[in-house]
Amino acid sequence: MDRRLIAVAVLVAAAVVFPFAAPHAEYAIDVLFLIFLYGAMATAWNYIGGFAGQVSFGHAAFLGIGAYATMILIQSNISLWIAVPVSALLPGLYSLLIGIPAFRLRGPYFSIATIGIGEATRLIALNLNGLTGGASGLTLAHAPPKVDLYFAALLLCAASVGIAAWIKGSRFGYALAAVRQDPDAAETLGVATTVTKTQALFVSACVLGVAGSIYALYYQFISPDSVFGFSTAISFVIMPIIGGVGTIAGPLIGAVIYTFVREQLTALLANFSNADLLAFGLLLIAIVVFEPGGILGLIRRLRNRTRAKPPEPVVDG
Amino acid sequence: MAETEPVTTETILAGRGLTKRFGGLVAVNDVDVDVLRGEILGLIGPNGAGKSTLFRLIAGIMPPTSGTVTFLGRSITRRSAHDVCVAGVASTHQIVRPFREMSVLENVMVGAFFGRRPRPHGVPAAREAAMEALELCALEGRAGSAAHALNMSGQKRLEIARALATRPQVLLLDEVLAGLNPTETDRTLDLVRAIRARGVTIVMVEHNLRAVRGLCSRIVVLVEGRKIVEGDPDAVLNDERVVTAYLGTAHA
Repeated sequence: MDRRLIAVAVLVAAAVVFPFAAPHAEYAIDVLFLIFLYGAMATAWNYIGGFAGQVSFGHAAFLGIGAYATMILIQSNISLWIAVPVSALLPGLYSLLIGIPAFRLRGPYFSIATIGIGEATRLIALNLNGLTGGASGLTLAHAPPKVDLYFAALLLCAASVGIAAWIKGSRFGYALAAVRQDPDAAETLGVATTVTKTQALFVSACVLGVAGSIYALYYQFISPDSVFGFSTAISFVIMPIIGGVGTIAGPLIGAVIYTFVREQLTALLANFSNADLLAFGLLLIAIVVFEPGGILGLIRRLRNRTRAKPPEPVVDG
Repeated sequence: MAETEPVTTETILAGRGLTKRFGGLVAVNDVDVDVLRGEILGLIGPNGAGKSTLFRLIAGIMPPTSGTVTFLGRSITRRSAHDVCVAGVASTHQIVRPFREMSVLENVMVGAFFGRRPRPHGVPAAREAAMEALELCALEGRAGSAAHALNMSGQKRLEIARALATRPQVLLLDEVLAGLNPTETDRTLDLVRAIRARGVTIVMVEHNLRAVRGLCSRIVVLVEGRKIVEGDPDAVLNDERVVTAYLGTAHA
């Protein structure tokens, strides 16, 4: 069996056993919960931002819509079994509003549009007082036990990675890679590029919606600034870039590093708010300048150097 | 090379009144063109005559200002490029455009996955279909190479293999001989004949008149966006208007 698969199996088993082995390690469970949730979201961002190369700065909108949908439905005494699927589907439909017009254009238009849509969504949530509670947000009196939500986050993370692995090895994955590398060539080979990108965005948005649902239940409080905030949107871009954009493991590695670094910085610089953003900004610049492939790119480069493989000769076929 | 499918008199692809304006410039001006099933049609003309633009109008890469394109009796005018490919009209790019992060095989698999129906189900079937196209193009030995590691001749054949993997009924080849040395040119001409022998109708834009004369069953000549002559290669290439267009009046 593949050594990497064994490593993954061991990690997953450890994650499953941990809450039973250490039921009072609440802080550790909090951090692991965040890693799974961020891992799920960074991986889902990567479907469109990495595989299809369409960088989105607006994914917080999908997280937020999922979170608010769950909050509002649960407060209206609607079952979780309905609330969660609705929280997945609404962001999916919302993504079509962005994707269908923006993907018809080539180049950075989609990325630019996502910045505007993300902020617009936050402002709408802020001002729809009756529905969202405005700036004071929404709170939930009763929610499932945290351990259940810990497992829900773990499951979502596994599902998100499973989807990524499936995409990578499928016809759909070939379409996304072709779209990223040369959309015109992809078109002439029969790839419906606009539809392909829209589909990837839809799936990505649905995963973010479920993540929002779990987030709302776990913290029992959401506000426009927490779920729709621009720093949240940026974190979905930062994590895959740290680990390696367009890879399966990259967004997960990024989620682990992002979560730990942010936790440490928040504790260390308690009276210097948003210091984490400054740190991640500098980290991002360093990665883009020195190793655009992220940590996985760095590992690959070091491995190739030790093997000292000669470059492939350019010869006729 | 045995020519299994004879040239017919059946029109498989037809353009009528095709016109493309870019502001004040009329790149293609009221061109009628008929492609007969099973033929190799050459499209020639001096630089800037509108050959590549005409190709793009047919392939759906850009819409015509006016005019229609009909394929197998159905209008494909203004259909998007991917629709035209799925319908059965594939095209190659004049400037090669491989997917740079994919292997040669993966490049061709994209064509196999998304071209004309029926499409292969699953990765193994697509890989098999792609290998078949690579073998025809003598690239099977480079299947695992990075696409950009191929030389110009190899990249040109990769363009053809990719288009071929989409199972086209009509293949539009845009200057596949440009930049090739005489040996590579001969190999590519053999490849075009082999593709035609498989029943694929071919339209090629070409500057190499010697190659066109030896290969094409008919030739259409464009000059300044207009069709000036069409017909048998020898007759067309000796036509006074064609000689004038290429060489100028002093030599005519």
